[in-house]
Amino acid sequence: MSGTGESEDDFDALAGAAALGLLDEAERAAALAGRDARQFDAAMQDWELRLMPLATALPPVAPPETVWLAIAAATRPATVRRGLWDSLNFWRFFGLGAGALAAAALLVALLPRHPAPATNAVATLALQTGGDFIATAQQTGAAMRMVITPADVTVPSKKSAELWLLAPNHAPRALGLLASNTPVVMNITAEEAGGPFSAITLAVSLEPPGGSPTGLPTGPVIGSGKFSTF
Amino acid sequence: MDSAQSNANIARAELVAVLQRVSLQDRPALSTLYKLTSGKLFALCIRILNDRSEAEDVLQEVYLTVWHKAAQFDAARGVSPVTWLTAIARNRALDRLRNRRRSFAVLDEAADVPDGAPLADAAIGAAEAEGRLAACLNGLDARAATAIRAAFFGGQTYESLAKAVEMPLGSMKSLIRRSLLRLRACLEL
Repeated sequence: MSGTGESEDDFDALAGAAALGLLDEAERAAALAGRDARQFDAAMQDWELRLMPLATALPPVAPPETVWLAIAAATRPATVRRGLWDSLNFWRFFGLGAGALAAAALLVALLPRHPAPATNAVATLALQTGGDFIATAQQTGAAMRMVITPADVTVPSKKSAELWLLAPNHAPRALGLLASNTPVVMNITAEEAGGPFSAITLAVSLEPPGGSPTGLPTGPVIGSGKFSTF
Repeated sequence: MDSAQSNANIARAELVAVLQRVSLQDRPALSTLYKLTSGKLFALCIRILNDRSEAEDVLQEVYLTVWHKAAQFDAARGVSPVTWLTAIARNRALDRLRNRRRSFAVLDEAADVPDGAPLADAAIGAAEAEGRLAACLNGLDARAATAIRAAFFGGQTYESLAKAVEMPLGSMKSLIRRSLLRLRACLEL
């Protein structure tokens, strides 16, 4: 470690005071007189490291979700930042319509229930990047099975296409990643679906490889569609 | 090696791996890093700035800095990832607090760091380092320990520290000088 001489001690104590933010320009200049500035900086850094446990010992405070959302938005790759359909506007738009859909869903929920046979539905998601995803679904009791088949779909390289389920009064639910060359099967419960077919919209967004890091869509929505029963 | 030490080493190795992925612009890794570390860094920003909304701004800046500079983290230097991140957060928050430029040592400018003795931080877990520093501070003159703790979180001058305990300015300066040297000696034991 540093020497024990008086002048070495003075130098190191001044570096400590500098690490504490206590030196004005004149004091710092005096400390540096005849010295290597890099040596002084290194001594300051040693002091920072010695004292850093004061910071790591603070009890954690959870930051609000908005901080992460801003970071996620700022680190989004530039190539997808301007989608044909800006995703934030899309989700806002959907949010506005959710009230009416919720009313419809409530009405359906209040109708008398009978043991239902299988209900089949299909949704076509025409993609702004070309091609379609075709979702066919069958609901039997509480189980809902979906097969999402790509048709002439191209997903940009280094992106994943992620499927979202939008139901009234629910946050978008991630259903999984879609393949551009093979059908993907997804099984969910009717409860997870959040409503009958008539209340469900599917949407596809472009996400980083492996899917959205936030659990909510972060990239542009390239296609969406509603189910029609048949 | 006891199990607490072993757990600390595992946590540290995980963070090193996450930082390496972040340096490759892996966004899910950034999300993981944020989940693991943002609580501590936010607490530090609040402590320094005493303003939640400013602390949120700085926290965001910190992770964007890490996103762009994660490649500069060098585990071989012996600094733990938590210390590296904490140093970035402290310096960002202090910059914001001063709102004017003054030269501070910044660990995120790795290129400027000369080779030197291995840093003590590398060998021990965070909890142990916290306990050791607290013990050494408690061994100092209580006024000095309070002054050093306050100054670390920024916004202090020799004048403000002296005034807080009604001590002449020169006495506070020499008290801090003596106490820093004692602290260094205690930490090196």
